[in-house]
Amino acid sequence: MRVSIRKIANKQDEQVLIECVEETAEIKEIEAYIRSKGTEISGIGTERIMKQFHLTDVYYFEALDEKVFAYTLEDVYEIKMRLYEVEEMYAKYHFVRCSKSVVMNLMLLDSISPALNGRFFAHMKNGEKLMISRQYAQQIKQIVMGGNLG
Amino acid sequence: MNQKSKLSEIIVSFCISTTCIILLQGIMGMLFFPDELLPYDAFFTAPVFGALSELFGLVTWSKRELSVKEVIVRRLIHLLLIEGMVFGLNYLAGNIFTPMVSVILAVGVAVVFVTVYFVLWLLDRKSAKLFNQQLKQFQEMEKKKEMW
Repeated sequence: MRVSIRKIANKQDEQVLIECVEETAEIKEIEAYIRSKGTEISGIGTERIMKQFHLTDVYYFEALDEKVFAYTLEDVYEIKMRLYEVEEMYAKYHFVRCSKSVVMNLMLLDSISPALNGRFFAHMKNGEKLMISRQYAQQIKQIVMGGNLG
Repeated sequence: MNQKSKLSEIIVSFCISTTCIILLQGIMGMLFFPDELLPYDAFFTAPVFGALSELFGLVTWSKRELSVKEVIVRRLIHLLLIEGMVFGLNYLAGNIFTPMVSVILAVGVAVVFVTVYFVLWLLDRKSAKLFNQQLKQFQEMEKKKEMW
């Protein structure tokens, strides 16, 4: 496989283009690797324009009607990834699943408070309130508190 | 929620409900049956009621995440099952109550029910408070790591 790097002027126009005859498992692996490397993501904003934004600005990802959206302070972006991919790729950037349809950024979590049935509310730093399901609450506590579980 | 934490929640709930049932039995006995003496086996009624209440708590469990409305409905069913169990077992044991005692007992059972959930909520609040303290430290630490 030939590999070439072409220098360009604008940071915003940076991209990795894979030209292949068929999307084999190997190609998909390369794609997953490239996607996992960058902390900049591109998505379609509310103005229906493709934009790039920083992963660290994302409060949470939500899956709605087979689509995945990234929520930042300014905008909501539709991204071309599955929620499980988001969960796997961005776990090292402190993103963690908090319910069946939401992966939240632990670095932008302000606090939690108890809700009904062993669930918790996640109060994000932008003022939004998310639900932490029973099944994911323990995992989140484990990440943050380590061996100091309450 | 893993099996271990599910089990520990059931045990905590059982202990709280048994304590509350003993208190309810003591208060009801002192108020309405002050001259009655209880045999030793009466000590087992509270844990039995507590264990059965936990068993009926199965109606509140679900594999999928329940909505707030569903949780409330299932808890009401749970309470009705407990009320039925308390009156049913008393009836089988030959304890027939006056309407006033029945109403007070029913309210007492509901108070115990609410108290158990309230105490569980307080425990969750305590664990949330500890989590929030650790969260700030976690965020600071991770920020430092990123800077290095």
